[in-house]
Amino acid sequence: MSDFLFRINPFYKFTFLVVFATVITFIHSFWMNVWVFGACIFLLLTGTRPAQHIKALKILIPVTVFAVSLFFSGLFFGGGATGPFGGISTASTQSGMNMATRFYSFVGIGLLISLTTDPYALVKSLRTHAKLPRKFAYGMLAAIHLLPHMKTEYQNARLAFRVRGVPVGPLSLKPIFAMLVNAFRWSEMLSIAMISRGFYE
Amino acid sequence: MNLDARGLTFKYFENARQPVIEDFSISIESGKITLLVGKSGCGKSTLGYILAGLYPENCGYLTEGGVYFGGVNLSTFTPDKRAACVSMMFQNPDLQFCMNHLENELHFCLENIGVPEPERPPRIKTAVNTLGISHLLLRSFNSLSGGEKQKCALCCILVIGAKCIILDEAFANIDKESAREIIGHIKTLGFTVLAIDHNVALWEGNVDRTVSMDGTYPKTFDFRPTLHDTGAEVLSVRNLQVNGIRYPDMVFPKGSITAIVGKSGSGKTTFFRTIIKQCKYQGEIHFFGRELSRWRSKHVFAKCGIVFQNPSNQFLALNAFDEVLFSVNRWHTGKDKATKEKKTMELLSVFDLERYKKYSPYLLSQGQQRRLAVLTMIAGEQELLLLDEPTYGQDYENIVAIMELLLEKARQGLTVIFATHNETLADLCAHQTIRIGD
Repeated sequence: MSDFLFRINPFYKFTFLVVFATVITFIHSFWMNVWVFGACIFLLLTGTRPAQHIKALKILIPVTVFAVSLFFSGLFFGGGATGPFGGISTASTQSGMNMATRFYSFVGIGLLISLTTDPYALVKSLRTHAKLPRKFAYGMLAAIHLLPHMKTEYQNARLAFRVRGVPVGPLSLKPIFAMLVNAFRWSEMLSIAMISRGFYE
Repeated sequence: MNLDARGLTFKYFENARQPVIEDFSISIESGKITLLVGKSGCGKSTLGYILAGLYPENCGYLTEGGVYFGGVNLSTFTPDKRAACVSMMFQNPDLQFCMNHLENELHFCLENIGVPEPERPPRIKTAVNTLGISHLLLRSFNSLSGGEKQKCALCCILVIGAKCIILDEAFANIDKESAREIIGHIKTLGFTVLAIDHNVALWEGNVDRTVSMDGTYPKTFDFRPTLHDTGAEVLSVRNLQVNGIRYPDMVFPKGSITAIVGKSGSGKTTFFRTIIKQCKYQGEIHFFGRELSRWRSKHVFAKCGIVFQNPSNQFLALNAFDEVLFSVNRWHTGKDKATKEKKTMELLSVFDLERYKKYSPYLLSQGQQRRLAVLTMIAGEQELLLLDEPTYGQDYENIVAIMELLLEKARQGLTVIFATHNETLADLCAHQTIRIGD
């Protein structure tokens, strides 16, 4: 039971949740948002392992910060309100609640897909069921394979800059530039390695 | 079947005045191991890519000549048919795989050459059993050592059924034991091989023929500098343990050169990262008279420079000249512009890089990038310099040039610690060699 979500065909799961998310985009209902988010959390708790619960919690912390800011945006500027000190009403409170819960419902659906699907299995499934071209399928997988390298390389670039006496803040562009230049080189090297193993369109 | 290159002339840019390779021919005999040597930057890797059929299809212009496998022009093959004839093992083991583990990668390889799904598992089993790596099948590539990754790369070539392998410095950053094991497999399996390698000693006893691309042959390493006396202790390590790796006790005197040797993954890079306060540690590290934990990072960086294994992520400027000038400016604030520029040119000339002064650091070869990174650190006035594999990808002349520069700086008081797989270099050029990970 604890991992039944992993056993569902990734393509069917992905397609259902994407279609579902598209449909609820057109429905503005506070209670529907609450139900959708509640259902996602219920499924995550019952259908995944404790490691996924911790991951979900880690993601939900910054999400809550955004949701609270969305709530206050709606409260102060939605439903006819004109700012923090004027016009807060039932309508503006409702607008804030709608925006915040809507955000939660989409995050819930995203968590359901991302935490219960192996990207390699999803791409394989997309190839089989949706006839996704090889170029895109293996391109995506190669990009996924590069992500951990990019993270390490970014940290190394930041360190290298600090070693050379260049202060780097959290938003400094220079290490990002160094990392991107390397990422371009890597993608070229990786694609050549793939071609050397017979890959072609 | 032989792999023949006849009268190759190759340019990276259509309007380039000077071709990278001009009227070059080579015949790689079937079932034999041919070693290709030549100076750094003479076009060996480019030739490897052309012979594997990857250039000019993906880069550059082959203005004359062609490559023939068993007498058939390789350019007439589609990539899947070509892969079954010639495949390549690359320098960087991390950038050869597009999947998460070996089993998926082998399925990818077999799908490329059109093997139906039911026929794949037996072929995969045979290939991994031949190399004795069935235990690696489901392990994430991220958790494998460099040597294990290169064995996986060989397994991919084996499963495709390629007859000929081009190795482009494939063993440059893995330990000698793993490299020799892979070479042993290649020899036993009877592949036709072209190996591009600066480390000729690694291939001793296995090479059938050595060909030079520019007429130069590697010399036996006989650089025997006279080592000077060293000073008082600047760094010492006792009972050190980092991420479960236990290190021997070490003392580094002022002006000394220390070589750190050990297998890939034994903790050489982790040791360097610990010294610059990037890893938590247990034990004692006395850094310039005080416990390392009591130093602030920026003060550590003022005392200690580091050249990383991948130098390309430590460049700041748009050309090689500005790159060195940046360090000169930082450390020689009182001097005038002309003096600083003169100093920059002097530094570039030490490693024969002055003609590349307007080149972007990212466009330089691996070896040139490493030398430039060494210069950016030497330009400073740090008292301790850590270098992770400074001689990787360098030819004999450049290894000697790098070591001479480090020795000169050490005589002036710089304490140098370098990690290397080249044990001959360690024995001849260092005051002490420390082996870790035993």
